[in-house]
Amino acid sequence: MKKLFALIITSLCLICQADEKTNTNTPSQTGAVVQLTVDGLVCNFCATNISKTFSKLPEVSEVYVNLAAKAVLLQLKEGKKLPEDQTKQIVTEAGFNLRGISYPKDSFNSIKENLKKSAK
Amino acid sequence: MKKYLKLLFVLFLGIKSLHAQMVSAPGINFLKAEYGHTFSYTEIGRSFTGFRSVGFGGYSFNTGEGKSIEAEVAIVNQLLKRWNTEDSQANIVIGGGVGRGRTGGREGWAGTASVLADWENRRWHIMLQEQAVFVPSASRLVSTLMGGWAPYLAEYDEWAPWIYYTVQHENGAGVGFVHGPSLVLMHQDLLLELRVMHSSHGYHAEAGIRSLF
Repeated sequence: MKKLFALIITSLCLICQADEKTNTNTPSQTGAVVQLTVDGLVCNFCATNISKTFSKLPEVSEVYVNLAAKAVLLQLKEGKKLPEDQTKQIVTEAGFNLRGISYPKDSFNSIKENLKKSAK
Repeated sequence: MKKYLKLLFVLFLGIKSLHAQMVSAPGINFLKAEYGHTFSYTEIGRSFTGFRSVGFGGYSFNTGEGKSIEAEVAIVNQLLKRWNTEDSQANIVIGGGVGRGRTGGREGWAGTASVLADWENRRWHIMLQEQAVFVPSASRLVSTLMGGWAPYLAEYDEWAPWIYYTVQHENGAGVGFVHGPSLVLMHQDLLLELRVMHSSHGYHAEAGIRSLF
């Protein structure tokens, strides 16, 4: 039984490492910023699910989740787009409801800081 | 490295077996372990959709009728229904598993069934769970009711403390209702829980961990 557990744990670790390798995108601060408002985003594990789901997308270079605002902030890579219907589908498949989507002109970091301040 | 440390932490708890009952977003792995006075369990698995996960897990009961019960099973968990509102979320999750189990020197097929219902917002969380385990010539039904309160609202990248009170009953354990407070600390994809529980056997410490990776 111990061997079985060791095998399971090793396999999962390898899966995780593979995921990390495929997600080591070079951050691009020049792409568009997308801000989502998500219903059901009330706990850390909810935030983890959303964050990891969007982090895996090749179009996304950075994700920030703010629980107080129920907001998910996405930094897209330069020249990349994330269609609204695809975004809604991703949120739904992760188990949440997309209530709103906007494309702010401010930078990812400035919006992130504003969300942090408003949460205090 | 962080993932390895989490796994090592669970192994350090000395839990003998694994069990799964958790559903996350597609492609996310989960780990859930609890080391308790009357029983322990561990779950490890992967969510293939936002509504279904598959994992390995097991139970280890260490009280009741002078003999231990152990079961290791492969489990499928299904999120039956989720309600998302602007400020809250509620879930109903069921799970079932088949594997091997043993008690009193007898070994054979084992089965598990569970149902979990919970509701939470950022300040409050209440959960009711029923877990049944069937092994040759024995069975256990564990009922758990937990209520939690967050003393302050922490953000995702901060440590979020929660205070829970748990009431648990295990048929056949012979310890009556087990109940007590617990401190839960959440930080991003990690949850740690420490409980001080009281039963007819007295006070005892329990620990739990959950993680998404």
